[in-house]
Amino acid sequence: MRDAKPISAAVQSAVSGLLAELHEKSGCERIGLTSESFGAILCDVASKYLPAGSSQTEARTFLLTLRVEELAMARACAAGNNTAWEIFLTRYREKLYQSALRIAREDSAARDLADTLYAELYGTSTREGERVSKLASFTGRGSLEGWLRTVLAQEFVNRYRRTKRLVSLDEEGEDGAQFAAPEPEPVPSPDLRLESATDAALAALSSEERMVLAAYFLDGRTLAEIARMLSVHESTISRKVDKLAKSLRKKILSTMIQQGMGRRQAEEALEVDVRDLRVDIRRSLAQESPPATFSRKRENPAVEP
Amino acid sequence: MQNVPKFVLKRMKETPPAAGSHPDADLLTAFAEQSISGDERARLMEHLALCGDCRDVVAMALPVTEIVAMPVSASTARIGWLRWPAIRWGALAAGILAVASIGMVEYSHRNQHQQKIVASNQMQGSAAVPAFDRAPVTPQAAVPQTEMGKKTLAVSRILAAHKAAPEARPARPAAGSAGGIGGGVFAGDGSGSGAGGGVAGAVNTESATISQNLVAQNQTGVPLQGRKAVDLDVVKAKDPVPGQAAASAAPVPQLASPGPLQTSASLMVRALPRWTVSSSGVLQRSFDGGNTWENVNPALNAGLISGRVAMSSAPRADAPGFDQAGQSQAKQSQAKQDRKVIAAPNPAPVFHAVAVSGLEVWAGGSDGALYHTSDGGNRWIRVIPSTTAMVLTGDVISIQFSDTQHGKISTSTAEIWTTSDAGQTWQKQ
Repeated sequence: MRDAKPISAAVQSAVSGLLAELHEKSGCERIGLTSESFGAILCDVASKYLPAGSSQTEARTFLLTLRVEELAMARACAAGNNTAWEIFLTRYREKLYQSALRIAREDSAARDLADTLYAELYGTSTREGERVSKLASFTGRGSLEGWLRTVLAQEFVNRYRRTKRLVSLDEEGEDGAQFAAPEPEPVPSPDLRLESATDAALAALSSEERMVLAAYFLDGRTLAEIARMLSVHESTISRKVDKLAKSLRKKILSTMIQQGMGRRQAEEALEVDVRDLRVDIRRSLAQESPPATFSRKRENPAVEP
Repeated sequence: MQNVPKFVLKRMKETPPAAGSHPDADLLTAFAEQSISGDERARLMEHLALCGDCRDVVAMALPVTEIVAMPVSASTARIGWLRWPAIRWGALAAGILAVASIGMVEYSHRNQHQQKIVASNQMQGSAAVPAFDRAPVTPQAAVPQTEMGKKTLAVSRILAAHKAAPEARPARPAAGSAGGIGGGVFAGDGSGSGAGGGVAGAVNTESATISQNLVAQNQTGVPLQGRKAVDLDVVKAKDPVPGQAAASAAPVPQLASPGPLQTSASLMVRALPRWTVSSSGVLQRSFDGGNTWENVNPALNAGLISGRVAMSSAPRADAPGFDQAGQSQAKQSQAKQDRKVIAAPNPAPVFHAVAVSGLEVWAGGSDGALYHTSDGGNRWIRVIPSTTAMVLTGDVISIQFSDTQHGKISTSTAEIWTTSDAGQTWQKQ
């Protein structure tokens, strides 16, 4: 997300002031990471995330929030230290596979996902003659375990979810698996006032409100999942979703009425997509006649009309 | 849950993410772990609001097992003994314990109550007897001894009778035989002169009977032969020697302390019966607050005295300067001579009125029947209001006592009799 930036004097000063403390705290000595090399790592990390012109205090505060012990171990692993690898494998091997299984929801896919990540962590690729490990990109902003899960999820998304429509592996393996629904027919020339009112209402939402709405209504996340994403209680998300949906509808209707539409007309315009959905269902039912199972369609795609 | 119009969702989906690359895994991890704040978090939130892929990554990378399972296991280990089944059974055990405790407390309370009644009766007997015979008696001491003497007359006399007459005869059916024994026992000034009589009268309540027996047991050498808890239990002292009872009871005055007397008085007040006259003219009393009623026939065990005699009776015991010890023999002999004891009729009169003031009960009815008890109905005295010139006639139809001393009686013959000394003297109006 950020390009490499030159190390500022404030960052260097902050790192120098904290190096002894953080070096001792990170346990670099047992994994063969010298103080100088660890200081260089800290400077890289701070320069990557701290905005330009940050003061020494800001840099110091930032450095103190880093998980230096895990950062040192990840970087030592990336440098090929056997002790660090032993520690890493002891701590995270099993967890890595479990996380992959939870994401992929299927054993073979989970193993494939985990093995791929292992390879990247070990550094199968080389750059300028040197082995490049994915662990070298770990910066210690969060926990190493969380970072591994995130990397697994990113890899999963990159490999299996190229499209916006999500299809999990276990769903695909089931009889009657779901497939991405055909794109709905374009809404026939919606009222421009509806578009503008909707865009205005959405623009008025905060990023968090929009994220909650998108996660619930677009991504199909449960209230519990969204609550955990934002570290709040599920009931808070429930109330927020309900309130947002009501206020959004009310605001759009109000804007359309202000633009000269009657209330009934505005409500009909807002529900236009629902009518389209009904048409789509009828059309879809007509197309799929005679009925055929999803599995047969999958097995013999050529037979499909 | 309120739905968002599909058109709105479509517009949300069509909005492209902000230009630029996705945040790296470190930032997404830090976001999920709440490790970033401020502008950095706001920028990331802005991206997540528009980027479905990154939202999916954050959602999939959530540590489900740690959040859900760990707190549960920790809480289970910490308060395992407080799990729901344990609380449920604990509550049941606590309930059983509470019920058992209440039962035990109630049982012990009842036992203690009975023992207190016995002890109080014994105490009253011990306290009253020497008080009657103490000489000289100060006016201050005469007040409690009079009150307690009235209230515990029966028990004290039982004690006195046993002490005075160890050869007391077995009890016998007392119908028609109780009255008049001992002469002055049933005199209007019984508190003062009754001690010399040394006669135990009717005791028909359970507690009184129990205490009576216990008192008898406590008296060494006094057999319990023939003593039964019957409705009318009479112990008669044959030819009691005046003053003998006082002499025998003299060694126990130390038991008469204000504390037990007050306690016994409060217990007696608490055990006061309720009185009524039924529609058929039967006098009834209840010891359980009116749930059950028992018929009372004062005529069965009532000594009968005439108002004339009462008028000529000795000075009241609570009169200042009254010398009980010195004058008791003379008073008793005078009373024996003056009081005309008449056999009480057995048939119960038809009662028309009853007046109650504590243990003092006045009941009146047909043919001038007027009965008075000072101990809650255990021993009755028939009183005939009279003057030197005339006697009450007609039926007693109304009895009114403003206190234990002052009363007014109306008769069917339109006579009104009043007394200001608890029925010892009467005036006709």
